Amino acid sequence: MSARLLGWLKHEWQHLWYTPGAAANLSAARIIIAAHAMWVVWSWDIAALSGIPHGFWWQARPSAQWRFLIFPGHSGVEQIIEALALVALLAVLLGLWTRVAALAAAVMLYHLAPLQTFLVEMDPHARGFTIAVLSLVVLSAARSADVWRVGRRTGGATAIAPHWEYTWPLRLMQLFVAQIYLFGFWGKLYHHGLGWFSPEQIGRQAVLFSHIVPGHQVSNLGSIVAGSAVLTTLGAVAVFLFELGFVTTLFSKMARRILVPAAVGFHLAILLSMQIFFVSMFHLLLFVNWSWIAERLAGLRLAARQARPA
Amino acid sequence: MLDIRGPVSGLTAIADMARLAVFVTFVVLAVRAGGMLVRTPRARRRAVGLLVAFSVLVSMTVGAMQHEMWPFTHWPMDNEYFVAEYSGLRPVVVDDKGVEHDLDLRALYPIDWMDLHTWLDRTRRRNPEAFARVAPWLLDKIARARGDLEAGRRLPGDRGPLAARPRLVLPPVWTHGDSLSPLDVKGLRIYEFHANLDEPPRAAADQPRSLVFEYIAP
Repeated sequence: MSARLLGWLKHEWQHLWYTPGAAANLSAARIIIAAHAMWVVWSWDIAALSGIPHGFWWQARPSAQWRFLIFPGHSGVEQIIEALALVALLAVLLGLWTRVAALAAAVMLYHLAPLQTFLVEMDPHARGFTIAVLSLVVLSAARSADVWRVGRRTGGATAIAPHWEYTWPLRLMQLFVAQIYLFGFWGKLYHHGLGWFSPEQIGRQAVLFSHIVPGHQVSNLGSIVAGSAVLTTLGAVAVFLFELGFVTTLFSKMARRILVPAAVGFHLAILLSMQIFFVSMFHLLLFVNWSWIAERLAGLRLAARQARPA
Repeated sequence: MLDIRGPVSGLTAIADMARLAVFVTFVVLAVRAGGMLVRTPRARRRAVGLLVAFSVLVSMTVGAMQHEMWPFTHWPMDNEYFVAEYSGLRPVVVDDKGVEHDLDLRALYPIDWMDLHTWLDRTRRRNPEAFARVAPWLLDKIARARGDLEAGRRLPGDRGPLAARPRLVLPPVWTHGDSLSPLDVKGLRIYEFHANLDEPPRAAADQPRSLVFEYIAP
């Protein structure tokens, strides 16, 4: 019995990570990760945080500073590192020297990202670089530039046969994204029990920012939700099922079709009620079947060409 | 001189170095899986298997144990449990007549208000003198941001509508045509306010509050 179970587990493990996959999906993942990280680096002046007065740094542990090589008063150096990170990310985006560039970008973002939150904590999980650093390390080991790269004609997204080399990196990146919701669920259960998933708690979460910054809401959705027993009950059930269930997107196409759009709705609802923008929501694009889209577009182009009079 | 009085212990330092070692191991395994340091396709396939197993094991363990090991993280956002009684901090600026005005939190850039909120909360409990050391810089930053806005320029750090938003999204508080002029910003006060999350939100002026920090420019 246990041998059969072990054999089944081994088969499922192999199937999950090494089933032949499309080169286009991995290349799309490379482009998404690099473009998103460039967007976040460009959007926020992380280097400026190195220049804030020393009085802010009283909570910083020396060992944590050595862990990330973060020391105050070096805005100029940080600006250079930011610029180098952008160059490395651009190379990843374009598919040039991808492995070396991805590793360099990962190491530089590993240093820069905690600077965003160093005033209070060492874990910048929700600031846009967590999935990027993990994924860039994975991309440094992957064949992610076999299609959709500049400087070499690759014969189109569908010209290369599916291969296991294109599956395991993408699946790892998808796992990292799925863990956002899985650990969100587990953290609530671990620290607060099932009581977190109560209508009362959903109501308080929804209306919290109306109390913190009265009169400055982006919408009154939070108050509407908090004021309705039906909506808070539905919200509690939805959060429970969605956060617990999202991990099934790794195994099931059907789950991907339902839960990935649901995740977009989940983040929009949080934005409109709690006023929290989750910058990593764009990593949900890693679950889109880009190879299928490329095939359809290529088919449409071919049909248009054939329909054109000679 | 850097003033570091954080909770340093030998064990914490070892934990920090262990976290660094985990990331370095992750990178080394990726380099091997990429084909460096291995000679045969079979060895490379084994290296890929090792990278996958390591990534799954570490990331799942970090999540299950709810410990920070960034970039492997347990994603603790939005996990806080709120009771009905809530207390938070709110900053206001003071003009030269002593009148208080709402602060547009975007003026604090590059500091995120939620981070500053946590910093102020810990500072008042464990190191209240630290506020006096940073308050002049904060006030100067706020006054400059206000000046920029009055002069028709963007707030510092505002890179336009296409830039990624900060975590806490707030509509602008300071707009052209409000009553605060750039020279008016003379002081900064931080209040603790109290609210009941089970009741409808009240206007800021109606919330009970107490002064936590105050800095008025000399």
